Amino acid sequence: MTTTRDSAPTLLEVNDLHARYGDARVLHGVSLRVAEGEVVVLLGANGAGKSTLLKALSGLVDRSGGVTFDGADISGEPSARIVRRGLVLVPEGRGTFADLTVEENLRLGAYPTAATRSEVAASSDEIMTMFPILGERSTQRAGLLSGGEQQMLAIGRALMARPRMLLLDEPSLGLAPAVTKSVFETLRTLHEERGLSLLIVEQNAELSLGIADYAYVIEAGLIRVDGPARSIRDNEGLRRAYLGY
Amino acid sequence: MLIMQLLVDGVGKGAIYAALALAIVVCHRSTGLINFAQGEFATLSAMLTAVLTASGIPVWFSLGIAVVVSFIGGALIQFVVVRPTLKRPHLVQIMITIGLYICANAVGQIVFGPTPRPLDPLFPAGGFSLVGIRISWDLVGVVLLQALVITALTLFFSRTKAGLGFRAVATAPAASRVVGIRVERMHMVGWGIAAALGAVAGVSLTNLGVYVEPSMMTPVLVFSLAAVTIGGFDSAIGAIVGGVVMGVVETFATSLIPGLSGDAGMLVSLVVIVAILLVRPQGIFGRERVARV
Repeated sequence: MTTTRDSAPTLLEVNDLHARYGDARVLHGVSLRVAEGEVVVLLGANGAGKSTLLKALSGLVDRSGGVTFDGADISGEPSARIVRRGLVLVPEGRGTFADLTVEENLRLGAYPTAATRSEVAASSDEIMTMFPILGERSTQRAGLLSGGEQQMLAIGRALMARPRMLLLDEPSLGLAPAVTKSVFETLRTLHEERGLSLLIVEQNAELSLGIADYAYVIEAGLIRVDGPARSIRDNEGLRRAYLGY
Repeated sequence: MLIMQLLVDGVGKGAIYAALALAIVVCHRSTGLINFAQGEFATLSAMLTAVLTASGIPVWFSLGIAVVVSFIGGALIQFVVVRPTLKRPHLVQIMITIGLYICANAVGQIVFGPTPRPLDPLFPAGGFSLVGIRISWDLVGVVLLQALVITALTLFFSRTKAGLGFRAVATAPAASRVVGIRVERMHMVGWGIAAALGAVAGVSLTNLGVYVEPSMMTPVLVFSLAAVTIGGFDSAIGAIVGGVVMGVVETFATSLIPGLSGDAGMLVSLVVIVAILLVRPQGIFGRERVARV
């Protein structure tokens, strides 16, 4: 498994990344790598800096250090340009536009791209076919959807930017186990059918390791352990120490 | 017949209130802030129009220039004065808009002077009579002009990509950043649009017999705030309906209640504001925010 990882071209490379959130320094030199078409999971306890890392990669918090996406240095770029490059965040707690309709939410996903009106409509139709529940509710306000439906909407909205890689922040947060399972099924499908790369931040280690190729464990703003997802899952001492199951 | 006459006059005034109310709503929707200086910005725009026409430029052309300059000025003020305080408590920003109110008023006093000056009319003199009700071309023109502006603005918000972006920023700034909307830029443009709308409102007011002077918009601001309270702070349609209602209510109250005239008419808006806040705080057209935990 490591051999395929090493030979695959790098899509995202993070080198000695520091970030602050408000007055607090949260990341103290994180380095990691996601290969083209790979699913990587980032595990760690609450407050370890996982969400901040994803926000830093998306240009949403002050950061310093090296971030390369698809060969380009994006460490100083604003969020709009990073979205245009195809690196799109699905935020924690969904972060949908509660007062706007489902269809408007989807259209906003393509906001910073150069897509024309008809291209946006075509993408939006495609996503409503992929998630039929969004199609049924296209004129409803997003705030009225259930948690699972909002998570689907948040993923659908991210897909509107025609991304090459999604950053998913706690996609299972606050969802019932059955719903969480279907969210991960969706992610697996996106990965397998579209070759989308995924960097998933999760507290649900078991489910996320199940679909991941590679895993990093972050603690107190630093990467402590990394390795193929299977070897992390099979290492009982590691699981106990960092993942708590 | 008197009632019909008062109704017509009230609608004319109401159109002005609606126009400034709309500026307040646009500013609120793009930045979540009530700009108490919105009326004074409109006064400065009217003053600029007066100065331009006095130098020989036709009044419509002067208004066009004033609209553009007001847009740039509003955006610039947001960038220089309001933007640095965006992360501070809301109250700080509201105090800043009150400071801007005082500043804008002082600038008007110093640069333009306190002497009222008439502005060339936008519309032809005279009017017509319909079953005994006098309707001036000024009034027709003012109402049509506001209707045109409001229609254009509504189409902008509901049909264009930028309009959708504005609605997104108004309700969910954090999510807007995630999808890659430049929130700060939207705030700037929102203040610009609001100031441009104010310019139309201020110049329109001079067509209903008001002279250009530093405090010309003060009563208008009070009635427009009442209009926005009626309509809901984030509803464009509410601002228009609220504006017309306030124009009619004011006209009736000042004509029919003995002793209630001039500035005392502003009492009417106070009564309306208190009544609405007690009964329906989100306004008649305002929507309660959707929140699902």
